[in-house]
Amino acid sequence: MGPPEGGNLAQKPIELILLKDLVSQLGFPVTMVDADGTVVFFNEPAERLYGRSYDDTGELPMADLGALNAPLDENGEPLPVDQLPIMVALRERRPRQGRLVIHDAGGKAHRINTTSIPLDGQGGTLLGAMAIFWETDRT
Amino acid sequence: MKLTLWGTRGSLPSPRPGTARYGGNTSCVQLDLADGSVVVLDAGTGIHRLPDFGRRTTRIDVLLSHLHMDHILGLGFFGALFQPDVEVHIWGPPSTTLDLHGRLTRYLSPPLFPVRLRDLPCKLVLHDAPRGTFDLPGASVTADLVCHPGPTLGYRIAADEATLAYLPDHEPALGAESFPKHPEWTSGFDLMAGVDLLIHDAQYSEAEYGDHVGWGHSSICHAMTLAETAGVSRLVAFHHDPTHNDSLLDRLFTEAAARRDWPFELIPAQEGSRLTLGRQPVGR
Repeated sequence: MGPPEGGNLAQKPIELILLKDLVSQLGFPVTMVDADGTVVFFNEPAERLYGRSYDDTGELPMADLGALNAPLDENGEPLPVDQLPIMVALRERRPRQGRLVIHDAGGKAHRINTTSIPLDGQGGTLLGAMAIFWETDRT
Repeated sequence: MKLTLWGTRGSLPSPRPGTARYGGNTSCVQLDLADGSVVVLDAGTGIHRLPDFGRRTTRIDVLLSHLHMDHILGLGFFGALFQPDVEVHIWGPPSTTLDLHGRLTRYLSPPLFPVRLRDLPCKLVLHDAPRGTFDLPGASVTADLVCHPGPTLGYRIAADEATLAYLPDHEPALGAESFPKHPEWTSGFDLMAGVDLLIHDAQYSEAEYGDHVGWGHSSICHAMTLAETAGVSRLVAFHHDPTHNDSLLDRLFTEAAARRDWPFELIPAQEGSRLTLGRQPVGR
């Protein structure tokens, strides 16, 4: 096998590579986006929560994942993708917490808390953001 | 360009009769470029073997991969630092809290070393290496952080119509569920991809790696798999474990080479050996 030619195969920043390796070993749901807001990974606990596998979705814009998960805010109103805590953390470059409801692939609603943090690299380079989730109960 | 391997050992200088062939000095590689420019990769104890530079050499660039002791231990014995008419540019990774000057001063000052940085006779210029591409006389250099404890840079150097990658301390297999990983998720991949010559960490045998996960190094097998994935032409297996003597290294490399038909030339690094790449220096 040789190096990839063309295509969209630029290597990820080392911080995202190391984070993905860590996240893939953790026992709670984590989703990572890059600096453009593209979902670049979610781990197995997140797969269980979403009801879909990362192998199936691959990288996708957060708007697309949001469309799949149909998030609602605390009042049960649809939550625009740019208001998702992970996107606010990315845009404002500060941690963000939130409570929301998401729907898995089977349509089941999950009430979750989330903490999202921006990923600032050395020299102030914004690399992306990550969100951890935990379910508060099932609706 | 012409390469000379002045230090091939990892972690600890290991001069003893049983290591004479592969060498006991720690990481240092000299690059002589076709236009007469000199670039030195790392300042391990091998740097004291560099020859005196004549009056024609007025500038030398030293690229430090990181500041672990085995990569800077020889710096205070680098002859060019004591030549008033030579510009020495040292490039290396900053930390999040200290620049390169602040970090090097911790070593090059009493009580660890008798001479302070500011007292060196040469024209010394320290650079926090940017993460990206920058130019040196005769070469274009790309630096990026790679997987090793503490801020650590790998380098890709394009000069004399050839490309070289230098990742002496690198553990791309860390945390991987399988190896090799997809190139997009492989530390250092862009630095290595398609180079004519890769100098890469190959510290452990496969059996040893299992007891050293997270120490920041690769097995010989990891280095060879990576070289294959990255499509390099030649692999210099580097940074030998200090406990490995010549006969053990012979055996490990013979076994690794025989595992299958590798699509690159394997060159186990031996101290004092010379390699050529692309256009050659004239009259040096």
